[in-house]
Amino acid sequence: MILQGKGLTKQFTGLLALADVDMCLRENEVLGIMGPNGAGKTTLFNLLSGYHRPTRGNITLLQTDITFFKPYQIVKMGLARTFQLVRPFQELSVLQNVMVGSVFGPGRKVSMAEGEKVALEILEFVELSHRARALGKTLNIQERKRLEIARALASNPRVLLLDEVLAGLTPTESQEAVVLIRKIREEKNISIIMVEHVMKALMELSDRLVVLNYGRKIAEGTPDEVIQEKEVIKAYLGEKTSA
Amino acid sequence: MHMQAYVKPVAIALIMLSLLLVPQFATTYTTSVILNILMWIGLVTSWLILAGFTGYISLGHGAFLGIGAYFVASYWQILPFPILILLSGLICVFVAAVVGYPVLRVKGPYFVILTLGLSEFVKYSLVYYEVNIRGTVGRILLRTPSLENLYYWVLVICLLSIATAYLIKRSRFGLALMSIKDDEDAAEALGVNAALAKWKAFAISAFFPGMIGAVMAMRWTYIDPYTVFNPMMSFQVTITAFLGGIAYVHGPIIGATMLTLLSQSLWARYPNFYMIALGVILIFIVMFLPQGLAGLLSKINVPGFIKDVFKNVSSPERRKEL
Repeated sequence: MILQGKGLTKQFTGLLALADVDMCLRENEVLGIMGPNGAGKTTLFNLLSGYHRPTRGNITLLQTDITFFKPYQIVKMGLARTFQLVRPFQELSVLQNVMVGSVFGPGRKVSMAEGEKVALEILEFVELSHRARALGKTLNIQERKRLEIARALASNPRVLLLDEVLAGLTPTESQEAVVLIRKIREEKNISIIMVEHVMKALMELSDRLVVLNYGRKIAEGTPDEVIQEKEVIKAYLGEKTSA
Repeated sequence: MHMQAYVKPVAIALIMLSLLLVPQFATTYTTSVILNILMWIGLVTSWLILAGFTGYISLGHGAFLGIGAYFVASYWQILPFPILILLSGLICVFVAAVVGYPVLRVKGPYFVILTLGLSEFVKYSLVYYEVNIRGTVGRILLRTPSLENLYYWVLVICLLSIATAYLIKRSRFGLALMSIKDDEDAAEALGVNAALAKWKAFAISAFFPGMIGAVMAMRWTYIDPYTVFNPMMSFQVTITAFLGGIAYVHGPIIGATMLTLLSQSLWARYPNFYMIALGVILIFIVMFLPQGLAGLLSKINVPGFIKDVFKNVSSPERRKEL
């Protein structure tokens, strides 16, 4: 068990965004999070990465309780995330963008020279080397998504949270991204949690799925098990009235 | 090709040499004008250590100048001058560190207003102290050092601030600050301790106006809270920075030189017109020159050595393209 959340609850004013959710991530596993809009997927990510503090519950990463850690401390512990709305540093070059991750992300102090070396390797890995000197703001959407992943990888994480990295991509680009995610898992030995609306990709990539609806976990299991669950079908397609 | 490699160091060496020789050969008037230019370069460059790198626009920079000036006025002829200058800088670092911790949690326009409010607070607290407790309006400083002496102090402080900004831009610390400017949340997600980095930048940037205030108090020889804590100082720092171009280390040099020369030529004869000109310039930069004069310089094809002097000072990605 590399990452574990117990009884995670997040109460916003007038809205229970997440209610008593247990989840865990195993070594070298891809865990998919699915659920309709507003189900609490992004809230779960924000709790795990330290952007929100849970109202109740706790989070353990590699035997350390990180429930009240700040985002920059959590990266250094080995959990990196991407954002749904990609946020490249506009005025920095692609290389500098990745260097922010490789210099400040790891748990130890990294020099600029070493950070640059790591960043160049990562850019090679995500196939973005040809854009290394371009400014962040000049990238197209596919390149931005790759940069987002590259920056997160640069911190040398054990766990990677991918928040809708396929959204906004064309089917071809999306397929290329799926290949990249597989490559991350196989070559880097990183465990991945991904939130995705593209069901096909989620089914293809995930070892297990957790399904959320109205902030509650309604199903968990392998993709094949989960899509047969009544609750899941109900959440996605609605209930049959004439039964 | 080989000639070009020498252009920049030679030009810089020549500029340095002429700056060193100014008090020996120039008239008192010219020396005092150049001293003013150097003062503004130091103020603006140090202001940019926070504002340029992180985008946090402070309207309280002038307050550090005032604190430095008042500190020297209080201990003049008690402590030796160099010690006073250094202590003025350090006190401002301390004040910035104490004030900065809560203040830097506020973002955007709120931060701007808060820094202005705080510097006004310091000003009126000091007015109260002077009038009601000491029973004075201001302070007169006697037996101050010569213009030449003060000129060299300002030159040293100014060069120190440029060197500091230049080194930060190339360091880990600079990378952290620049990532904060674009997106603080994303920077934190990548491991940058944004609160700490901003705090350090604010404290470092306060060091220089503190020392400059200490030296300028000797130049002004009369100090009162309304003049040394005049918010116009902070406004002019900001305007000069934007005129020069806030993304460039050499921006303040261009901005400060232009504005000081403009003010010297207008202030004596048409004092009100200078303020109008300042307003017009501000509008013009915001609308047409968001990158400032340094940005303009990097776009147009400047013949000769000017561009060579500046080209390596600009952003790292440009440096690597060349």
